[in-house]
Amino acid sequence: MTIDMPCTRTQLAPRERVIANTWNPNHVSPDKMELLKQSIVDNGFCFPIVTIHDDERDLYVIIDGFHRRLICDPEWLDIDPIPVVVLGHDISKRQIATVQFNKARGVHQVDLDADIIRALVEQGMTDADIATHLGIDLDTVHRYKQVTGVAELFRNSEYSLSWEMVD
Amino acid sequence: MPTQRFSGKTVLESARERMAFVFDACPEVIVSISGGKDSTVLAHIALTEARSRERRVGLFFLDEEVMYQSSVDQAECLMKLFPGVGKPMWLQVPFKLTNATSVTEGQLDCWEPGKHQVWMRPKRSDAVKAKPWDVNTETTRNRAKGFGFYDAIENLQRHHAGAAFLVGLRAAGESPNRWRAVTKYPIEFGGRRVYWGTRRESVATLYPIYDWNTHDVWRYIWDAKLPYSKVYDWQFRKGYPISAMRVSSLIHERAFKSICDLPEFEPKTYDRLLKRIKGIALAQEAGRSAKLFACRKLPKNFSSWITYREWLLRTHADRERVPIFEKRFARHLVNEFVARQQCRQLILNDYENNLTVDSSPDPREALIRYYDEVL
Repeated sequence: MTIDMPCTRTQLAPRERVIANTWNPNHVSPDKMELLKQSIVDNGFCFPIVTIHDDERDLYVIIDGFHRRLICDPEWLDIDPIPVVVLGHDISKRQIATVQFNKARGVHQVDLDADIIRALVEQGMTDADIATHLGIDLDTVHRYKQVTGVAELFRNSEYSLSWEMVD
Repeated sequence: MPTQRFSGKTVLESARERMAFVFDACPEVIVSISGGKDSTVLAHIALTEARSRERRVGLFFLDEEVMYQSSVDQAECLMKLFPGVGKPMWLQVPFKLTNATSVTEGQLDCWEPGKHQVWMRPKRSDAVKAKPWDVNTETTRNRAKGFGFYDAIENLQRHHAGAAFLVGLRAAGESPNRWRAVTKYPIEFGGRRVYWGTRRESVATLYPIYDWNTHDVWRYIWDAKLPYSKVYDWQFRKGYPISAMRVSSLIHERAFKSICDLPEFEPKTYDRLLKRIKGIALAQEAGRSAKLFACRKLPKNFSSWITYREWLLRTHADRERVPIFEKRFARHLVNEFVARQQCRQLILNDYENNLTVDSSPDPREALIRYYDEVL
């Protein structure tokens, strides 16, 4: 099977011509938007926005990357023009592609996330820096740094008084 | 009317006294372990008591096959903790578990004979692999449902007639059912009347840590440096409140939400589970969704719970069960409050009626009527 590589044909398009589709069910929470912004600041724009070209209106309709497109707006990082790739998909193929892009991804095993955070601490990063760059709050950093486990939280708690039922 | 009386001792002192009393009263003591924190603490207190008396204590683990690997590891740990004191009773026998995640595969036959290629894990060499009780006199509570989890426990208990079974059930912060179990119905045991137990035939089940709170359990685990299931630490890191941290079964109708986090906790267990039973992928994605499984929000293309219920009945994938639902629903009141609960049963394919429907007048209608009158 020959696999096409649209990513090698990335082009720059004027920001106002790249518009949202009407079907994307993906939701990105505000903290993840901050993380996306931080990621683009830290790493640059690595993934072009995937679009189809609407020839009649000369618009690029987004298949994947709506939130990357948002980040380009003036209230976020103000990027213009923006990198896009253009696919030739018909309507159902577009909708399917959106779902594929959104869902075909992994999750982080909690243990391994904790390992990364501990490694960053050992490399001398502050908790605040870790929170900013990984898009998590300080409370979460502390939870992950805690290595001895949940039982330790109760080391100083007092035993309750016992009771029984009597007639 | 029984009342609750505080004793002036700590729950740990009292639990040790209760344990000594059980060992005095009964020559055979068996602790049920689940891999969870409560049974871990109970097993440790029992093992300590047994060792001081140079006696042995049975450690009974009913292996559900579809379990967190961490629970399996924890059970193994406990069985090795006091060599020569703990007497392992690791049961890997066939029984049925409700699978609330699939409409076409409503029950999982765990450890189904001849299906060893698809089992979550191979059976252990040290496990009890055949039912130890007499299968000719075996009892089943509900023949239609088949031989289930509680049947396995009941038959094992009968097989150990005269033994004391210890369970880490706690009254505090748990369901009203549990509170009732440990406070309502006293039994005669060891020449005393005890409220913290239940009895069936010659078998007493006792709850020596019934009055413990969650923090007591953790304090004990910390002090005794006990191993505990890693699931608790993962849940803690994910921000679960302490009260919501629990290691439960993975697939029955109240617990399948634990599948939502499984890929982040135990990716390998999740991958095997996908191959083992149907419905897992959907439960993982939508298990927390208020619309789908919990049935809290009406999907937007329906105008009422009643029309949603009709649609669910019409399109239900498990056609054979539809008459069961229709017959049951015909006995219920017709209102939105009831219809929402019926939708939940349909979505979970709860033909067994485990999540019973409260067929009462819609509280919302009563409230509206009340305000119509006063305003």
